Amino acid sequence: MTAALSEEEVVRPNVIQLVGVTKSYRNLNVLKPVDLDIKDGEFLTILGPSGSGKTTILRMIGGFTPPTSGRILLRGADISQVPIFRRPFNTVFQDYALFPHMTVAKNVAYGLRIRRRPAEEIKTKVAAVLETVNLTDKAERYPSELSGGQRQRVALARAIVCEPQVILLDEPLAALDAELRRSMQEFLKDLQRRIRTTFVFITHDQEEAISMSDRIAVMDHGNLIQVGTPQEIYYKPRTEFVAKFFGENNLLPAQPDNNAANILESPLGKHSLPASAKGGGSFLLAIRPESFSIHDGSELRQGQSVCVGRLENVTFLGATTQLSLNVGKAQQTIKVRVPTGQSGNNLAFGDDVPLRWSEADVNVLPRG
Amino acid sequence: MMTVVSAELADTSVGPPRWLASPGKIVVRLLVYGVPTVMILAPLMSFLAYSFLEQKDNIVTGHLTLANYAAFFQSGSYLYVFFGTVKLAFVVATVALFLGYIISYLIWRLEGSTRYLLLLLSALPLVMNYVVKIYAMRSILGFNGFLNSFLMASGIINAPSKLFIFNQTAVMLAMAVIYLPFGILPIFLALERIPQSLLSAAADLGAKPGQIFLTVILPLSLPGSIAGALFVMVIALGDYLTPQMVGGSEGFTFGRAIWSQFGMAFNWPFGAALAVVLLVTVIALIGLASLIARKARLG
Ligand SMILES: Nc1ncnc2c1ncn2[C@@H]1O[C@H](COP(=O)(O)OP(=O)(O)OP(=O)(O)O)[C@@H](O)[C@H]1O
Ligand SMILES: [Mg+2]
Repeated sequence: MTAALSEEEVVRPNVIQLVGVTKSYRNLNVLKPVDLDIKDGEFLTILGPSGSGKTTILRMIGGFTPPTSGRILLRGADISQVPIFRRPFNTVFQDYALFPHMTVAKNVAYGLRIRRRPAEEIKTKVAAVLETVNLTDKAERYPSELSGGQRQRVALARAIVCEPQVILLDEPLAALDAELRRSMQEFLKDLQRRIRTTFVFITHDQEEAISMSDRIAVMDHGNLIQVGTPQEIYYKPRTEFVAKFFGENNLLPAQPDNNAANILESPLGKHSLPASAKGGGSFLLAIRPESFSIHDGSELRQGQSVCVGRLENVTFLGATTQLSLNVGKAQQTIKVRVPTGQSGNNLAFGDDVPLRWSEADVNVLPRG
Repeated sequence: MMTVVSAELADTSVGPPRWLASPGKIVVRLLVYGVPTVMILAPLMSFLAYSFLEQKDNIVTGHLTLANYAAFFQSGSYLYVFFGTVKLAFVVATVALFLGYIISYLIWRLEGSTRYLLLLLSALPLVMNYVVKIYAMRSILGFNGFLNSFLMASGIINAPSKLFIFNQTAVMLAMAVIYLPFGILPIFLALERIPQSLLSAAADLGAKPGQIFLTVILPLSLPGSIAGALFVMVIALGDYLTPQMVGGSEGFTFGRAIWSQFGMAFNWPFGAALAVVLLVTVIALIGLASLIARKARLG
């Protein structure tokens, strides 16, 4: 049986593959077996709460620490035994790790000088990279004379000048204030598009992950939970953890119907149990607030359903308005977000509001 | 209810009355600034003053004079001893720098508890009595000492050599051993201050271990190490006990020259002038050390 390759997979071969990689420190197992394919030229973000094992994965790819078991492949070749200084990857450290005794230009030239490149080549490449990160005028400064954002860009320049196959970035923006952080996000994304190098980027900020990544790998407690595009992760979470991690999903309990095995019952009504959600017991439904709309009485389309909620609260958020409604027998509270014009001014607390939603927007998750 | 509130309010005003605080503070300030001033500056000022006093027929006359300094700068033998001592201290400091760097580096590269055990061991001589250490060196370097016995046993020499005791070499060897721990500690600290992430970054950029040492570790630890070596030089300059006990009549140093003016010749003004010369040298060296250290910190 040969699975048809999608176009995406054809144009983007894997640059790095983790195959059953684990990591233990003494007896502490900090990384459960991880399989992860990193595609050539993509911006992959590893996202997860503190201590979930993000840095551990990055350090094993970079060669700073060996995996306890499993293999790391570079374009199909096992590199588990290749020492750090021979791996064609470069890292941008969270604390930048700039050499304090070298000027910006010397810092950037370091990787080329170590490889004994001709002086002429070093000069032109360093100048070009400094131009790319807008630091040409700071070339003769020392790192201690730079601002945080400038140091950040020196660290980036020092990594990209070596033309690595992959750039590893461990929370490079964590130390920057909100405004600088936003502009650096755009800068990084733009830079990645221009130089077409694979970026593996770590963050624990889900908004950052969504806005920057081609794909996101979500980690929790040493497990790789879900890998997918930001849209997939956002709209199609596969576990309760992912659903909770990405903003304000409504999570509703659902039980199999007593009479029909493939029907679930929830405060919203009845749902058909998707084939992917196997096993008995209870489930959780995840549905985003913006997936609801107020039912205007028009005819329902295929796969749409209606339920009624009692209005408890209204919060004006600007372009959207958030309604809190109680639904079902248990009076479960759900949040619904509608465009502000649509909510109408005639809603009063305690009103029964008809809500319309689409079965396709409901994610059935195993209850864990 | 009201009573509780007022009690709480009253509580906040409890404490030392304001008017008591300021004289108390003044006393504390006086102690903090005054005691070191009196204990360090007063002796310095007194021998600085002494160095400008005239002495005739073993009696200090009380007249001001530059004769004591003139005597030093015009006397060939005192200048010779002075520069000989500076050279000796320089050699001791250089040995402390080289050996100290190698030892510190090896200890620094170790991991786990052996590392701190070895560091503690190499610092242990610092808390040993100074005189005990000198006697230990004498028993090693002496005519019937360990070094001679060893060399004879291994057949390198067939009679005990007088090369190792009661001369400048002996002073140099003894001082180098005694002051080595003073070199090891600052060098180890200089190495320890290098962030681990810099070494990771260098390796990540393609540097092999030897290249990391030459391009990152050495340049970042050298200023602190040189400052440590200058510190060794300063204490070696002023040492008069080691030269006296292992140097014999040949191992005459500037420290002994000063000591003999106070203790034997009873020419205190001249001794004070020599001490001032030494002090100025030491201050210059400390200034140099802090300049190097500051440059290292700015990096
Ligand atoms: N050298 C080590 N020795 C022992 N345990 C370690 C070591 N390094 C990491 N760990 C443990 O491994 C787990 C994962 O650590 P890791 O640094 O990968 O987390 P992270 O996801 O990067 O977290 P953060 O967001 O806080 O940086 C943590 O529980 C940590 O305590
Ligand atoms: Mg981390």
